[in-house]
Amino acid sequence: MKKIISCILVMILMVSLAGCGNSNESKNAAADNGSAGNASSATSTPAATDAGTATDSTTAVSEKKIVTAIDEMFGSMDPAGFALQTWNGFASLCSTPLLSFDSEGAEVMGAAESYTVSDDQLTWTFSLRKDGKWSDGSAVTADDFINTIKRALDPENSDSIYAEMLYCIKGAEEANSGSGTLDAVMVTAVDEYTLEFQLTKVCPYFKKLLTLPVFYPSKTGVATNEDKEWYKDPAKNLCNGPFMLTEYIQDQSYTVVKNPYYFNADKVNIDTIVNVCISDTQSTIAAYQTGEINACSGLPDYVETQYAGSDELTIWNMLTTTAILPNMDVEPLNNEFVREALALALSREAICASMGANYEPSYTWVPKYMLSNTGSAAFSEEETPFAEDAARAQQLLADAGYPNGEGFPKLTYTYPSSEKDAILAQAIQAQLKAVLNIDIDLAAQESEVYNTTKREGSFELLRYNWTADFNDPINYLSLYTSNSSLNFNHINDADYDAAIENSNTTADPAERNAYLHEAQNILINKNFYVIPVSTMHYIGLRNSNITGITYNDKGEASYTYADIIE
Amino acid sequence: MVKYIMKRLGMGLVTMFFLITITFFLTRIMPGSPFETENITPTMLAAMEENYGLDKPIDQQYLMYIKELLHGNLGVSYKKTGVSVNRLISTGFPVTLKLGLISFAVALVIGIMIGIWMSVTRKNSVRGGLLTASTLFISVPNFVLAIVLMLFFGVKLNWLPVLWTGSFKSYILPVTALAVYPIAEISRLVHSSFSEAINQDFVVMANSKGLGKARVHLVHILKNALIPLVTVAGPMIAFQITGSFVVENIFTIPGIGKEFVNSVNNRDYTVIMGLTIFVGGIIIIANLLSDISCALVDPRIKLDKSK
Repeated sequence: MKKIISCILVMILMVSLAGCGNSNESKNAAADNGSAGNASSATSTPAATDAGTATDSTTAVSEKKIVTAIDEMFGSMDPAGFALQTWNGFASLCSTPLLSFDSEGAEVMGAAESYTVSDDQLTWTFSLRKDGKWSDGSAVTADDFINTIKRALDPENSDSIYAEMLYCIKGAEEANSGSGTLDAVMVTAVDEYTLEFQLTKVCPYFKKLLTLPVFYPSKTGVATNEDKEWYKDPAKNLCNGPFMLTEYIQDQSYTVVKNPYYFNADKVNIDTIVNVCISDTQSTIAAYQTGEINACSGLPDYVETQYAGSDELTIWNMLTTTAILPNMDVEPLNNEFVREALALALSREAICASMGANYEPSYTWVPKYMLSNTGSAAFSEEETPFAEDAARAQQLLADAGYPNGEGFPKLTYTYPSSEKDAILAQAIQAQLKAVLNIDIDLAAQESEVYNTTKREGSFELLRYNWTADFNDPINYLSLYTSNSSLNFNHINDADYDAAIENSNTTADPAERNAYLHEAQNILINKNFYVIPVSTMHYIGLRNSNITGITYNDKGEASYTYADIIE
Repeated sequence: MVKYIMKRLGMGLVTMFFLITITFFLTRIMPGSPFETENITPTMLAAMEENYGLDKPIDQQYLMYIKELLHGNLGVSYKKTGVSVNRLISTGFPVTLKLGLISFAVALVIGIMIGIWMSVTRKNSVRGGLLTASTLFISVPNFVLAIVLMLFFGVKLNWLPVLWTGSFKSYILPVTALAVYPIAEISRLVHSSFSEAINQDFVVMANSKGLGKARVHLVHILKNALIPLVTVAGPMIAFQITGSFVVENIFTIPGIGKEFVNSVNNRDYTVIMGLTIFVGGIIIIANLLSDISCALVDPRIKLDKSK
């Protein structure tokens, strides 16, 4: 009996000690959390506590708040800087470009109320809306657009990844390479509300380019290249969109609230949107299910099955294509018959079935859902691509001098080491063996290594993926002109170059479209320089009480006119 | 004693030097550039490498790095524009440290309790059960545990938050995930040393003097039984406070464990270096403190055996 009592006493003592220790620590924890938050940004409240109160928001009747999950913060929010995913998400909430396009491809005027084009198509003049304001109430002027462009072209600014997209402006390339000056760049403020671009040559897709980061405004005098972190400070990162930044915590979250100075502010219903970084998809789904977040995307394909038929499931048809690049400098891939045999031998349905429900076969290089410039149809649906044909593939390989794969050298297929790419690689390997009786070695590489391999052209067959920067086929097709720096498999075809050149010089949209089809035809049907395999859609979840979501021409969701219904 | 500490510190510095040098060259030998991304053009890549001095010969880069390091500057992250490594550590480490210390404190208390229980219980079923459980939990990796905890207490029961918010509640799941392994380890250690001590002469002496059971167990036996624990505590604390990538990642905790793995994947050279140096320093100091406290607790241990 005594022993039992002593044991219990020991326990009680230990538990009480544990209790003391814990409560003290957690008090410190709470205190320190604030300071840690402060140290990482110039803002006051720890963001994390906001994220946790997602469920509490229902109790505060007046506030309409959405918590979304974003991937890790990659890149910056500076349109003239390293503007990738983070910028993209931020800009869709907080920035308004001159104009943009809706899901049907129709123009939506934004910061500009109208524009005119000169007869020679070289001078574009935009009239900015007079009620366009920054989130501090100051006017959005032509100089603010010029500020981003000139900062992006500054040769000292090594972060501006989209600078080359400005080369259509007279003087831009010279300024960026250092042989000219920024003052000579022909983007000018005619007056406070009139912005004029002078182009080097006709650019039929110039309007599409306006949705790229470098054409977004940034507040003159506040957003500078000298201050590398201006966008992290809500006082400096002024917004001209429906929402404005109130808090930024590096790698944790950023919060935006309704911008009272937005020209269409009466139609904006959501008060607050918190974007929390969650890099683990398992945690993202769990947090969605507990109600800690209200929307997320980039989820694995089993979610699509799990939520099939639910109005919470969101599907985003991405403008992306995965293809196999045969290196044109390598024997026997420089043989057209061999490339055609490879293209025809694959069964894309089977490949995509093994990769998951969010993969779809693609028979064209320009992605399946990219809109045409002449009609409402998708560009790639306007042409008939090649048809898979195992028997013909075998015949082609025999014609190339390798009947039944005999004597065919063992080629290596290089791919970035991710789960899906490994499945893709194995499916390709198995199908080529079954249909053509040829052996392929697989080489998985970490993404950084893979990107180097790709750049150096030190591959035989390469898994290649391209996601659209803007919704125009030229974004895909211009990669393969002989002078393109992104022509990784060294295609050198005069007919192709001519087709692209012609498409860039004609002012007639129908004619341009025909040239673009001609180019794609050379690429994937006639000469099989690129072997398209698949495209994919993004799977997401969103609370069904969030309504009024709109989509742009790239299929990206916008919360501008969203609402929460009770 | 002072001489010993000086000697150990000196050795620590030499270790650090090798650590820095080897890590520096290993990161540079690693294929792939920190600035590689899908859509970057070769001219952009070259410009960025030049901007960060990566186009210079490697020996020059090394000397530059050492020079900056001696001034306490760990450099700027290549991937997070404008963020210095010093700041990355100074914001991330407090979170990791706190989590590590809490989970270690919890593990220590619960582990010792269970260890004593295993030793004093007369019920073989209880002892057997506890031993089996501790063996089981030593072999369960913390990321499996973390996911199970998240799905059960977060999603299924909805008792605890899944996302880290810094609130008391949000500490519970990650601390549990991190504490289970050390609890199992500590309880087994305490059990074996406690069981050994319980039969020693001084215990018989204490018992025969008529001292209370609790006093004998908690003062006389425990004091002796804890010595082996002190030796492992140093490395264990170091392990706990240097962060767990998986647990931090799952519970979205903004600590340095997460940065560590990300930086290697991203080829963020300066961050890899900075964290290696920082964590290396912690481990060296923790081991030193552990050795010194051993000597203080147990006079039989001589620090300077050779002299």
